[in-house]
Amino acid sequence: MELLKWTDDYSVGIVIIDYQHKRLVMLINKLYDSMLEGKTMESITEIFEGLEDYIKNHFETEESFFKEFNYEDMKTHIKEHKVFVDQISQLKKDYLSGKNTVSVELLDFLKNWLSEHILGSDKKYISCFKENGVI
Amino acid sequence: MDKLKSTISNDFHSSKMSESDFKVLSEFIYKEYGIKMPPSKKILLESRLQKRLKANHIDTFKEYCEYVFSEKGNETEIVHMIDVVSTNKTDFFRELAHFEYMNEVLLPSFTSQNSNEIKIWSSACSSGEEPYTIAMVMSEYNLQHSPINFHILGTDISSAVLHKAENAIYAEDRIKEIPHSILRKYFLKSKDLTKPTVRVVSEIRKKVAFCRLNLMADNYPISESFDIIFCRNVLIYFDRITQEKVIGKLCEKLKPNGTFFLGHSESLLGMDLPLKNIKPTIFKKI
Ligand SMILES: C[S@@+](CC[C@H](N)C(=O)[O-])C[C@H]1O[C@@H](n2cnc3c(N)ncnc32)[C@H](O)[C@@H]1O
Ligand SMILES: [Fe+2]
Ligand SMILES: [Fe+2]
Repeated sequence: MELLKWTDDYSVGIVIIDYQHKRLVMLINKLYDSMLEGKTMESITEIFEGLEDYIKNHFETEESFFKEFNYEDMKTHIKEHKVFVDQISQLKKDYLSGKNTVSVELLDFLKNWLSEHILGSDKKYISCFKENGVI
Repeated sequence: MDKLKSTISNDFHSSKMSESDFKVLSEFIYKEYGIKMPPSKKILLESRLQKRLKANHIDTFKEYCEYVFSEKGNETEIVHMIDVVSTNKTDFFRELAHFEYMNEVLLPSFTSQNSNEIKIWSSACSSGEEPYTIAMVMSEYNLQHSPINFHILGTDISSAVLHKAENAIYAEDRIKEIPHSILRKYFLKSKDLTKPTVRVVSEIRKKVAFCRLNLMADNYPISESFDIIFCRNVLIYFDRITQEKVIGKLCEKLKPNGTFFLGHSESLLGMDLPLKNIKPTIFKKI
C-alpha cells in the first residue's frame, strides 16, 4: 500500500534531488508496509534505520550544494533539517525502548513533514541550483 | 601529421564534464554506492565515462546526467556507470553482520547437527577478499569449537580478478580495517619495504578453490550442493528478470535449509524463489 504517492507536483526539476526524494517516499511506504504486515521488531528497526540513514544522506546532499553555491536561505533550511533529524532520532529511541510503536501517527508525521518540506522549503532553492548549472 | 590530426579530432569528440555535472554524479555515486569521488577524481570520472556516452550515442555530460536519472536510464544505465567507476570493488570482512551470523548462529547449529563438513560458495568472489574472509571466519571458529571441515569455492566471471584472487597478494591499505589479531594470524607482510603488500597465508589459501563461472550462463558446471552461498553485490549487474533467474539457479545448488547471503543494498522482494527471509539479506532455503 502506498501511504504517500509520488506525483510530479513534488518534482523540483533537479535530477539528483528528485531521485533522492523518490527514494525517501519509497522508504516511508516500506516502513508503512512493514507496520501493516506486523513485521518483527528487528526488521522494522532495520527499515526505520535505513530511512533515517537515507534522510541524513539526502540532507547532506542538499546542504553540500547550499554551501557550494552559498545559498541565501541556507541557515533556515539547514535548521529545519536538523530539527527533523533530532525528532527522528528521538522517535527511534522511543521505539527501541518500547515507549512508542511505529504507528499510523508516526508515519503520518513522517509523510507530512516530507511533503510539506519538499513543497515549501526545497522548492525555494530551485532557482539558485539552476543558476549554478545543476540540471 | 595524420597522427596529429587524429589526436585533435579525438579530443574534439571527447566531451567535457562541467563542475556541476561532476558534483551531481559524484554525489550520487558516493551516496548510493559508497564509492568516494573527491574533486581530484573529476578527470578520471570524465575519461571513464566517455565510453558510456559513446555507447548511448550521447554527446554531452549534461544529456548523460539527464539520461542516468530518467526512468529508463535508472533501469539500464546506472549499473554500467557504477561498473566503470567501481570495477570489482570488494573488501575483507565487508558487511560484517554476515560473518557474525555465521559465527554465532550458523556454525554452532552445524556442530549440534553433528555435520562434519561444510561447503561454501562465494559466487561473485572478485579478487578473493570474500572467500578468504570466510576461510578466516571458519578457522577462527574451529580454534574454539570442535572443528568443522570446510571447503570454499570462489567463482567470478572475470579472469583478471580470479588471477588476483589466486595470488592472494593485496596492497597494505586494503587491510587497514581488519582487527589486529586476525592480521597477525592470517597475513604475511612482504619483505620489500618499497611495495607494502601482504599475502594471505597458505593455510587459508589452500582452503579456497577458484574457477571462472558466468552467473548468467544457462547451466552451472558444478555438481555439488552447498550449505552456504554468498551472492553479494553482483545483482546490480543484472535486470530484474535475470536476477530472479540467477538466484533460482543458485538455489538449485543450495542444500535444503542452506543459507543464502545477499548484498546489503539488494533485495529479492517480489521474486518467486524457494527462500525464506531470516534477517535482512539473509535467507534460508525451503
Ligand atoms: C562488486 S564485486 C562484489 C564482490 C564481493 N561479492 C563483495 O560483495 O565484496 C562484483 C563482482 O561480480 C562479478 N560479476 C559481474 N557479472 C558477473 C557474472 N555474470 N557472473 C559472475 N560474476 C560476475 C564482477 O566481475 C565482480 O568481481
Ligand atoms: Fe529535500
Ligand atoms: Fe531540504
